[in-house]
Order: sequence, then C-alpha cells, then structure tokens
Amino acid sequence: MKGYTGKILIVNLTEKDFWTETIPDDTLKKFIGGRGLGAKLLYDMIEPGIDPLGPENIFVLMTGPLTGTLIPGSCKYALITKSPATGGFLDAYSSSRISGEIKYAGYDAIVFKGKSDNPVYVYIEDERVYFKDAEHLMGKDNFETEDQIRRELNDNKVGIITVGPAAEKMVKISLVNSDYYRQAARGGGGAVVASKNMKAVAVKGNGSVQVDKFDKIMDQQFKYYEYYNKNEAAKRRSKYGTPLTIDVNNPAGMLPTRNFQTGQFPEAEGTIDTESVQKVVQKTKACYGCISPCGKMTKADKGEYKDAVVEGPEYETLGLLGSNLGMTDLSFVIKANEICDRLGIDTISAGVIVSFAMECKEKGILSKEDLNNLDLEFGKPKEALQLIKDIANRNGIGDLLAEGVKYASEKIGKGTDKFAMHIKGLELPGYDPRAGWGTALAYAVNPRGGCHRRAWPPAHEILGDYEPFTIEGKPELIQEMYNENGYFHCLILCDFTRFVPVTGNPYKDFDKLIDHYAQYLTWVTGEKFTSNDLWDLSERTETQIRLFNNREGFTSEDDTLPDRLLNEPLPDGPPAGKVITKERLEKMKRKYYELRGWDHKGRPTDETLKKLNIER
Amino acid sequence: MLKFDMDKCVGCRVCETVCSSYHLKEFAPNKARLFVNNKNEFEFSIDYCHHCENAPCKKACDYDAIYYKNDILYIDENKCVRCGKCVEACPYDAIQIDKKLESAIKCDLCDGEVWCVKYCPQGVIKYDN
Repeated sequence: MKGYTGKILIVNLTEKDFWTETIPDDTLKKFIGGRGLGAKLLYDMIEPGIDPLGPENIFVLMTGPLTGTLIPGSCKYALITKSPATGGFLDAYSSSRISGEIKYAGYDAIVFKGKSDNPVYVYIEDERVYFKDAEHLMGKDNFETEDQIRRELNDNKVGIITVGPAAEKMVKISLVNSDYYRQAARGGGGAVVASKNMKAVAVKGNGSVQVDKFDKIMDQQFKYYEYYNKNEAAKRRSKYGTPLTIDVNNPAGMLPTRNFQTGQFPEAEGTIDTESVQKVVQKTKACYGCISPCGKMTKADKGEYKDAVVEGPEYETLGLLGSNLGMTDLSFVIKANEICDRLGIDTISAGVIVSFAMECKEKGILSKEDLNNLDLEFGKPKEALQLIKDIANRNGIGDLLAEGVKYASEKIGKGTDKFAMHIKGLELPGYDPRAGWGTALAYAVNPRGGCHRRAWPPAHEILGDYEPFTIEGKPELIQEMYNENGYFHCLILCDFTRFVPVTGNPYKDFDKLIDHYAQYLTWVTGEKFTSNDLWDLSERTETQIRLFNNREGFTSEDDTLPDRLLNEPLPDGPPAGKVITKERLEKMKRKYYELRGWDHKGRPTDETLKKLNIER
Repeated sequence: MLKFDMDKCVGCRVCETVCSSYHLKEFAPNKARLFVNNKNEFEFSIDYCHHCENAPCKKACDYDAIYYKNDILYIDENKCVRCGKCVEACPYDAIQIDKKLESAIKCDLCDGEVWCVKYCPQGVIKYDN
C-alpha cells in the first residue's frame, strides 16, 4: 500500500545487530499505524509479566500512513512500550523531525529490543544502522545531548530523540525528548530507553513518502488554508496556545489546585492565566507541516528565574506546576518547565508528586527532615524547584518520589493513598473530574492511567450542552469520544490541527471530520477507506489494548479513581458539595464495557474479538 | 527573486516539503532546494538560492553544468558529475547532491510556479520577478 514502507526495522541492542521485517497488508489495513499497529506489535512481541525496565521489553517508535506527508498535523511519532509507571500499555506522542525521517529512511516503525553492554546512541541513515559510543553523553541533559549529537553527526537534517539524567536513573516519570522542546512525556518511556543503555536515537532518511493521489493532497492543502481562515477557534489557539484552557477550567471548578483540594484558583488571574503567558511569549513555533501553529516560546521576565526559556508552558504544566502547587509565579512555572525538560521528567507527573509531598507536609505526615530539609509548602517556588531536581536525580526523598505517587503513597502509608492522585500508577492531568463526571469515566477506563488524551469530555460538559453533574448518557459519550480520538492516534494526527476543517465547537462536528480523514487515508494509500472503517479501527484498537492490559493482570478493579475524587466534594465553584461516588462510577463502567463488547469485568468477549477480527 | 519575511516564519517547513513535491511528486523534504534552520530559540533562518550574478557555483563548476537563463541559475543534470564543487562554493548552503538523481540540485523557481511561495501558510515567502 502507498503511504507505507511496509517494513519495520528491528534493532537488537544486546547483539548490536539489526534486520527488517515486513508487515502484511492485511495487518496494516486492520491496525493502520500509531496506537493501533503499535498495540498489535507490542502484544505480539513481548511476553506477559516481563519487567518493563528489563531487556525483554521493547521500545517502538511508530509512525502512521500519513506521517511525513504534507497533510496538516501528520508530524507525530508514537512511542509504544510497556510502561514502567503502570506496568500496562503505554503510548506517548510527540511532534518531532524524527517522525518523518523514520519514513524517509524506509520504515513504518523501529523496534528496539535487548540491552547494550555499553552506553550507546543509535544512528540510522536509510538502511545503515550504527551503534555509537555514548559514554561521553551520560549524565548530560536533553538539550546538551541533542547539541552534542548534532555536532557529531554534522547534519541538521537528522531527527533526534534523547533521554536525560532522570531516565538514566530509571525515574518512573522520565520522558523522551526531541527537537529540544518537544516531549513524549507520560508513563516513563525515557526509563525504558535508558534501560537498554541507550541515550539517544538519531534518524536521517534520504528517501520519500509516496502517495496514491498526490494531486488531490496538494489541492486539499489550499482548502485547509481556507478552513483555517474561517475557523476562529483554530486562530485563537494559534494566538494563545494551550494556556487558553486555564481560563476555561478555572471558572468551571476543574482546575487542579493544591493537590486537587479545590478546583478553583482565583489567584491565577493576572499571574498564570492566558494573558499572563501571552505577555512573555517571544515567538510562535510550528511543528512540522502545521498550518495552525500553537507552540509558544516564552522567556521569564522577572524575579529569581528571569530569562528562563522554554517552549511552553502548555496548559497542563501551568495547571500541575502552577495552580496545583499553589503557585502564582509564572517565572517559576517557566523555570520548572525548563528544568523538567532538561533533566527529562514529565511536568504533569512531577507536579502531582510535588503537590502530594506538599500535602503530606501540610498534614504532618512528612516532616521537613523527611523532605531533604526543604520547607515545602504550597506556593513556595524555591523549595518546589529543589524537590523537582531531587526527584529527577533520586536525591534523598526524591528516590522514593521518583517511583511515582502510587508507590510513594504505598510506602508512606498513613492514609496517603486517599490523596495520591493517580490512576493505575500514572499521575492525573489537569482536569478535575468532579467538575464534569464524564471525565471520571474517561479517566477510570483509560488504559494508560491518569491521562486526558483519549477523550476530552470538558468539550461537552463545560463548553457544550451536556449536564456535567450526571452520569446519564456519559458512557455513550465517552465511547464516542474515545473512538473519535482513536483513529487520529493511529493515522497519527495532531489533536489540535485536526479541528481546522470545522468551525464552532469542533467536537460537535466530528462526523464531518471523520469523512475528511477517511478521504485522506484513501488518497494516501490507494485503498478505499470509509468513516465506518475508521470507527471500527478505534473499536479494534481499544479492545486490542484492553487485551494487553488484561494479560498483564489489570482488572476492572483498576478502572477506578483516587478516593479524593470519588468521595470528597470540591469546596468551590459549580461542583461545590457534589460527590461522584463509587456506585455511580461502577454504573458508568458497566455500561461502557457493554458498549465495547466486554463482559461485566471488562474482559473482551470471544464474540467481540471475532467481530473485530482480533486474535487473543 | 525570493524574498523572506522571517518575522512571520514559524518553522513549519511546508516550504521544504512542497519544494520536494514539486520536483518529485512525492514527499521528501530532505531533497528540497531550500532549508529552514533554527537560528536561535526565537528565530529561524532559511538557506535558499539567491541566483547570484557572477555566481560562485557557476564559476566553481568544471563541467559547464550550471548556466543562466533569464537571470535564473539552472543545473544541467546531464552534465553534472556530482563532484560537489558547487556545493562547496555556494555561500548560502543552497545546493546539495541528490544521490538518486545523481546530480547536484538547487532552486529552479519551479519554472515560474514557485511552490514555496504558493503554499507557505504564513505568507513568509514572496517572489519578486
């Protein structure tokens, strides 16, 4: 099929050898790419129960059929592996030069297996693979590592992913970095790379991506420019970037504040809100091929952290390292963001872990002495920044916290699990589900854990016309939203750029979007794909991943929320005084499983597998 | 000649992609004839052919493979032997060797259609004929 290379490159770090394997067309048609094909490869290539940080785990750089073409938003790669944070399926995405380079080099995916006996970085140019000594790069941060490799390879057209010092120390919230400012951050993928004694991967491709209907794709590009010009929401996103969300979530009572103790942070106004970020933006940046660029280069303009530079902070970082730590200092958020990127830890998880430690201190469960002598308190930047560094470096209490908030709360005990804000071991992102109960279900059933990327119910519950404080209609809504995101993450397309063809609330016009992208897939591959095919793809992918997680021992019991979210009411804003309760969550889960064709314990039935053409 | 308003450039590299597309009818930005670079954290720069008068690339070519037509510099792929002297001579890093074509390649202004101008989503590039 056009759009694909039909080949995956297998790199065995143990033997330092490599080979290619072909992917049959029917597998490509069934799983397409990205999340779907990645789930299939992971299920087939690793044994259940293996150590995520052992040589038996694999680390896959996945592309999709649209990757490397002109199609807007096709700039992403997916990192697929068994997560050291959750022990389950991990897919994490980032925009990067490497995405296209993998395709131009002749591969749909690159699989890394085994473990090198010395530190290496792997350089791939077309059919050649080099295992380069990386001893001199060990301990270097992500920016320094990328700088050094660019100098060594002397080619600025290379796509590079790197891991930082945190990954080298097997920190469970360590990320994979690329193009300096872009991260596949969630779930500890960085540690998996480092566990193979690998510091970086560099790819350069001298080939091309060929498509079936080249002229159609070139013509469609101009239509996208027209759509964009008419799309006020897309233009607003380009102007402000994701920080816009803080101004939506704060009034809705959905903004994580002081470790989810409340969902409103009035102090955000004029300090860490959209306008405040806008004032320190130096430059708008686009990912590869993007026509609605939303990357914001910012520079801290005052205080102790003046002149810190980062691409961001994105909404999630403003929420978790801002309001969730009780911070009103934007310069701190920018600096903390930069430190996380350099050392290589996820800003979301770092924020939740630090806020957890702050609450432990507030409640007298952890003392100053326990906390590396830090006078840790909500709203105190210096101490928070030090703790972030201590986590990345596994220094003192940082060694425990580097295991993630789930493990830390289990070790600390004393009821701290009630406010350890994670699902399946992955810390929660910036939407408090008590302000919109669809999010409770979307979080609970998420195979990745505490993750907002598979469905974004605030679009309907906050910005749309769904009543937020009811479970009625939510299982259907969440299934629909998962499926809407599902095929995008297979193609792979950016979550934001995809909305360009619709105006108004994009989530209401998804039926139109799916036709657009089925059409693109048809033009690229030369095979007829319909919107029904894409819908089936989402269903199939979700069930394939469910099979993986079930095989790893996950059950319906794991599809749950921290006690705080189920039983504690929020004190402020629209959700004040309301509780979700376990009963309501269970009711939503049962219906959701049924809609997916899974049994009451969340296990895909044989009939469903047959219908979706999946083998156990 | 091509003119760039770099304040508007966001580094999307659509110009690179469509440049390769015009010439190859496929997507291969590494075979583009102009390149977007990160100048620093906040700025981009673009390497492109300036179609110089008394062009150093033309002077460097021992095979008479580079020629002017209406003030635009072209490479004759049949004459080019891939020696790389023009690549070295170009002060703007605007020439590269295409291994598949077995020739040096550079901007030919798309025979007047100039796709980088036509497709740039930010209106960065202008063609002043």
